Amino acid sequence: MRTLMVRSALETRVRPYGLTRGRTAPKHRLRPESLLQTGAPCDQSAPEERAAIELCNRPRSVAEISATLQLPLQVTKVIVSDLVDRGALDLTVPPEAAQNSPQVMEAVLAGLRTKWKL
Amino acid sequence: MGGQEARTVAGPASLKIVVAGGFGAGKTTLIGAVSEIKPLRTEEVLTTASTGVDHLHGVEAKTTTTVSMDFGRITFDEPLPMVLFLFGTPGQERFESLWDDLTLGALGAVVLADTRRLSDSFTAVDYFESRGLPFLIAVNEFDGAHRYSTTAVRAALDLDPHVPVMPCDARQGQSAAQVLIRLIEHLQSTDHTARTVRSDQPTPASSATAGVQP
Ligand SMILES: Nc1nc2c(ncn2[C@@H]2O[C@H](COP(=O)(O)OP(=O)(O)OP(=O)(O)O)[C@@H](O)[C@H]2O)c(=O)[nH]1
Ligand SMILES: [Mg+2]
Repeated sequence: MRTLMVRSALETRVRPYGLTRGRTAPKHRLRPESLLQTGAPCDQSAPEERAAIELCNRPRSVAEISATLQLPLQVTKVIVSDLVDRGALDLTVPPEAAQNSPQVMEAVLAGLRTKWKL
Repeated sequence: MGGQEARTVAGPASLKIVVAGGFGAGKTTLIGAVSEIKPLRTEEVLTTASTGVDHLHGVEAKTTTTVSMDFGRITFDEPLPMVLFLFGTPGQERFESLWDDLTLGALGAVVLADTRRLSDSFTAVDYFESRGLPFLIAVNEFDGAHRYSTTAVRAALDLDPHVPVMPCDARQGQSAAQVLIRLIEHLQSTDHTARTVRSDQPTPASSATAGVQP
């Protein structure tokens, strides 16, 4: 009984890192707000990976994947980075107009004002 | 696999604003008031060198702390496809690496102040000043709390004259949105040379390309 309890306590701690197969650093530099989208079909994937792939059927952030999968950000980054390598998730690039800071500020202002009638 | 380029697809611009402030200042409330989703919670496991390091044995005692942070999002289709994230900084303590991760590439920050505990805002104010990230003070007007003038708040927090101070009700979407609007207006008026001080940080333009940092 006691050993079982100890084991499960250990597992909850260790398991997330097991998911990343011991890796702690993602290959792609991902930020909490980086947006990912489902890419090519991928047959071999762990349940967490499938959940991430499914979630990204519309662009989702690393933070949102982390929150939904209930995995720490760092672990999520490693998983996501791996899925990007396998083509199962694609990184998104913002529209050309959004590369320009003053234009982005104007767009956010206009968006907020319209949405909140301000 | 090595050296292979990541595939990219066109997506919305990803932007973020950091919401900081003392314990119970109303960060989660404000995020929830403007977010299109109920604030989500993500966790980060931090390794910190613990106090009382065992120098004799040459090992550094490390402890891990789990900190959680809330965030919300607002999606815009017009005038540009954009997603604006609002990240709440966790806890009182200033976990450098985490704050850096949240702050890097952010448009700016909102520091929520509770007038009953104004000094709780010092940590956030100091941090954003040191990073050169533009911010404003939103004074959350709790029921029954004494209303201070913005001048009094400015003096108490020892703010630079250009830092905006405004009252808000973190529970009201419109009020929270007004805070974000004021912040963006402040960013537009901020001298761009002042922003390049952030040496290791992306330029304002590249903050919009957060999805694809090589
Ligand atoms: N009356 C009033 N209550 C508020 C307001 N903003 C927040 N509250 C309440 O104050 C409490 C704390 O608000 P939170 O939004 O959880 O504060 P927080 O900054 O996220 O707190 P921590 O994450 O614990 O640091 C909650 O019970 C809110 O309902 C406000 O503008 N007016
Ligand atoms: Mg909170």
